[in-house]
Amino acid sequence: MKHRTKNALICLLAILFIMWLACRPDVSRDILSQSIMVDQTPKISPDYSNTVIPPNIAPLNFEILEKGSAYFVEIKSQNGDPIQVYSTDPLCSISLKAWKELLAANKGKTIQFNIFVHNKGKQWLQYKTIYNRVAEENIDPYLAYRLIDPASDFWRIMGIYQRNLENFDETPILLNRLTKNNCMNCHNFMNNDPNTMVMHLRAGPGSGTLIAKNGKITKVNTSTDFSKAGAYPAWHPNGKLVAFSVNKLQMFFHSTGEPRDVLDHASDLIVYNIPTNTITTSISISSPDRMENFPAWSPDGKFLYFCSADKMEKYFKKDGEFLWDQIYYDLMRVRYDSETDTWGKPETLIDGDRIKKSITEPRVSPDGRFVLFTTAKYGNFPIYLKSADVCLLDLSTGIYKVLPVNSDQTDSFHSWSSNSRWFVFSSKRDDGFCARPYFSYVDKDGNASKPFLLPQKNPNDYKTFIKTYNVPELIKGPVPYRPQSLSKAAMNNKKLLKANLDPKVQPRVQEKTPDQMYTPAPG
Amino acid sequence: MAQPIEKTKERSGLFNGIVQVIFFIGFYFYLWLRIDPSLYFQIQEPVFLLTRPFFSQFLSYPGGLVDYTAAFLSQFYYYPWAGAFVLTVITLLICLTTKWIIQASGKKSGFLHLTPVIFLIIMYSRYEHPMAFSVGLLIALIFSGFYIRIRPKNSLLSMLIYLVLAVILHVIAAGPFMLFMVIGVLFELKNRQRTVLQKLVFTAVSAIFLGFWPLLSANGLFIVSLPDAYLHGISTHQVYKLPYANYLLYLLFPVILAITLITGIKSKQAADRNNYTLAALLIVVLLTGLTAFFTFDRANHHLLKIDYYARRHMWAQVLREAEKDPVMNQLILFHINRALFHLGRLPDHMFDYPQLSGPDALVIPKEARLITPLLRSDIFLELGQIGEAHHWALEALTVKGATPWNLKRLAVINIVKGEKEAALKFIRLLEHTLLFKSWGKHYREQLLNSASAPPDPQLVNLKSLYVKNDFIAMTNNPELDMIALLKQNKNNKMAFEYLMAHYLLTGQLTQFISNLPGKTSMGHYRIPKNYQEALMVFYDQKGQLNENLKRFNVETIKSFNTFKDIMNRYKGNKKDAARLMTPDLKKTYMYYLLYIRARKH
Repeated sequence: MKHRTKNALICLLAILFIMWLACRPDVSRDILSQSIMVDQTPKISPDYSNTVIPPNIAPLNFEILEKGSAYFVEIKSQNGDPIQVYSTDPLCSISLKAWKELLAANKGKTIQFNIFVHNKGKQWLQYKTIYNRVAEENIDPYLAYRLIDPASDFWRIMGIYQRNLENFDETPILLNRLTKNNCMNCHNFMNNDPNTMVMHLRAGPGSGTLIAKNGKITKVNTSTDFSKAGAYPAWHPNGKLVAFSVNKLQMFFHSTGEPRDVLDHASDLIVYNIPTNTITTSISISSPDRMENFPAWSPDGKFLYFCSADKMEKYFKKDGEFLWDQIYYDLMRVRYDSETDTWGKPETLIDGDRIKKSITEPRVSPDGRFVLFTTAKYGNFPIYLKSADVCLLDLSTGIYKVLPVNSDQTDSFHSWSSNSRWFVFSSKRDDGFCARPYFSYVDKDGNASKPFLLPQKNPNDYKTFIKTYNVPELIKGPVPYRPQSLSKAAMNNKKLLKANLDPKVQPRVQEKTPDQMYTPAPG
Repeated sequence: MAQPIEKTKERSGLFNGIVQVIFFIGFYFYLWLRIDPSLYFQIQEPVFLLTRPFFSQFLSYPGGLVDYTAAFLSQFYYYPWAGAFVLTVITLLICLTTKWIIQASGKKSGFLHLTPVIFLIIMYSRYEHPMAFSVGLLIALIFSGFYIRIRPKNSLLSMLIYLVLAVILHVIAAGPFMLFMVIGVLFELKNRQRTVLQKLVFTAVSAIFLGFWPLLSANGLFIVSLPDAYLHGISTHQVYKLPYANYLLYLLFPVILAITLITGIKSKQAADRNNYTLAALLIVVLLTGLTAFFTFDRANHHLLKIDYYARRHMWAQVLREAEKDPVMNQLILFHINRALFHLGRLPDHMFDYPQLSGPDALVIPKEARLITPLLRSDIFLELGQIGEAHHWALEALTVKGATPWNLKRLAVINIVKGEKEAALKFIRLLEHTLLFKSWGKHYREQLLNSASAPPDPQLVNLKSLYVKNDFIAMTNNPELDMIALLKQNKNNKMAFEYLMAHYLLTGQLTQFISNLPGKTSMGHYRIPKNYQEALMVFYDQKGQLNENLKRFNVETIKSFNTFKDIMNRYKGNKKDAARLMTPDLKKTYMYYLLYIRARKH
């Protein structure tokens, strides 16, 4: 009896469900047939319009900023079924599966977003169609970045994360709660390969440089009699060498505008040879008369690109006035033969003094054709400068241009996708306060598309999220090292490898003063 | 004969109940009126946002859900009566759950269930004590009581339920799950339905689980350090070091249960022991009272009360509270000087208070910045050094998180600077707080409808003070900042008075005089008392006092002469002269220069 009742109940529920499905009004049909056209482009946030998107990107969920009681979005292209999203909420959440199918079927084609809003007059208004183009080329599927508070002197909680760009999954690579609140940064990957990475930890028991390669993690102390430990890293494509900058940074503060700023009192470049555990350098990259910074190897490993400015003393006038806002870094490169460890003579590619701008953060495209770099009004720390813009140098012509991807806020730190068709950069365009990752497509001629913001499941989270995305790096897959393994290597000082100084390099007298910026807050 | 005994039992039980009710009412009023939970809020600045990212960060580590609950409940500290109510309810529930657990053994708890209050009051007397510890303890006790009540006869099933509950509890509360496991083992050891072998197996499995589960959790389920996986929720919290009372409290429960299970009073015998219970109850009440009296942190209460008034710009109350205790420290003097300025009394009455910290009490030095980033922001904001106020508000955001005050400060600064989108970000966050939505609404109006909204006096003032030309802040030498501020805005009254105060406190009388206008545009139509004293010292040193005497009023001349006479009488022997210094003379600049500043140097 009981069994029969149960079966009857299930049948009844099934019938009711089928009836509900059958009687449900076809919302989309009604809307499409009854709507009134409006000669206006709908406002959406984030602005996903007139841009180029990778065919493997996660759904571009957005909020419709037009007032209404119901919303309907139809996303379609030449091939495949359109996606229809009906909601009483202005948030348009797109099905991952349907989105993937639509994009995969329409590589190289235009994708349309038709937006309908049910207004107070109880009419459906159809706004002008938003167009985006789906590129032929994928973007590297993962993005590694550091999430930090908008830092000044202190830090407390931070972590390096990776985000799967094909969906919304975000996982930690390393969290500083595992390493007794270390500062961690300068994560860098060889040729966008997540298996070969380097990162720097400082101020705490886990301090040192972590080198993860072929499944093995080593902690190295790169300070020698020549210099203190390395900071900004760059992998040589042979996987055996890592170039580092060594810096002496100090924060200072303005009384108007963005208060934070940074001065680098001295800097040089060094190269760490992993197999021999040796630090080497050359007058070409560590001249006592210059401040060299931001190393970046060419994809063939034959050139080291970097930025360089006159040494700090030259910016002090005789009357003691300090011309900190006239420190312009040049874009340089130097030939290097990794087989014989010989350096060429540095050549200036762009003279900062001549253009009255400071050049930082060069990155050579994996195909060797372009160099992305940042220009700013002065100095070496563009993330705090509104004047910071992303520029592109075409190495085949020697001509550079300020890319149209920039905003009136800070646009800086950038990283190439391994196929050279995409790059990510940090932009503060949304609020002038928190950096967010933006992506842009670069065609073979160096034309960059309008950038788009890293999509989120709920893009409104950006509005209340006050962590800043720092040093975004595109990688070809997830980092295979567990946070616990990385922290274990960082905290195990018994296995710390102390780098040796190349006997050819003369030791230097070093000041023992630590960087006067970024100190740990309690807790 | 039976009826009178029953009646006595009833009366005694009723009396016990009344005593306990009165005890908790007294406890509530003690927390409300003596401890004052708004001071917890003052020092802890608990953060709670109704946003998904805020919630999701608590899911990333064991114990996060207890922390989230505590963050929510801590918001009620803002209103002392509500904060006291929340703490009283938590304490009451801890006691009731303890009673519930004891009674599950078929024993009567007597007074034992009230003993945790003695330890809790020690913790509540410490203003930094986070609520999460009490919430974690309560959850662990509820889980323990629940398990004891529902455990089935089947030992295997019982263990399964026990381990599942332990896992859930570890996820929710982390460290306190150990208490649950210990209580579980104690009850199983005393369980007559279990064989010795079953008891041994249960104990062994529990010990292994206790040792290994956090290890597994830290290496699989969560990304946390091993100490956090084991001890989060029962050991140090950020920089706050827990009192021993916390650990004793955790030890107390196994001890109470062991006593109860081994020697406890059976329910049926309890009636005969009511008088004994009542006496014990009164002892517990007395002990709680004594503990409260001896552990009350008067110094911190005093300091936080001053800080509380200063945060709310209740300047007269700042001075009144400060005057209650002659002991001054840098932070108290910092608030006193601010209060004096805002009450228009700084140039006259600065030396009414012993300026033991010298210029360090004007702008808190950088060395103290870690504990006081928002105070640094406060003083720079008041001075019109908006850049530094912004800098220190960002530091405060890092150190303390998105607290309502930090959000409010950053909203205000960004409105003043015209950074609309950044301001909106902080306004939105304020609108996602539990109790400070109205602040967000107010600043949204000010930002978006500034033409129609009634002008906010603070914003109007700050906009008038915000400098046009950039200069680099001298974080370790605020004197230069004040000069730079005055260079751009001569009418910046606070920058002027603080610069003059700085010169007085550092004894730089030449600079003081060269910056002293004859008749200022800042309302000093007469020379303020402390300025007169400084001028008299200066002219006296130069031998020009007599020709300048007409600039000073009679009282100042009189006290200056008295002071000088005393010093002359003792031929400059300060030690002997000090005996003749009246309270009024101790409130003069001469006294500061000769006694306080000289001692400092």
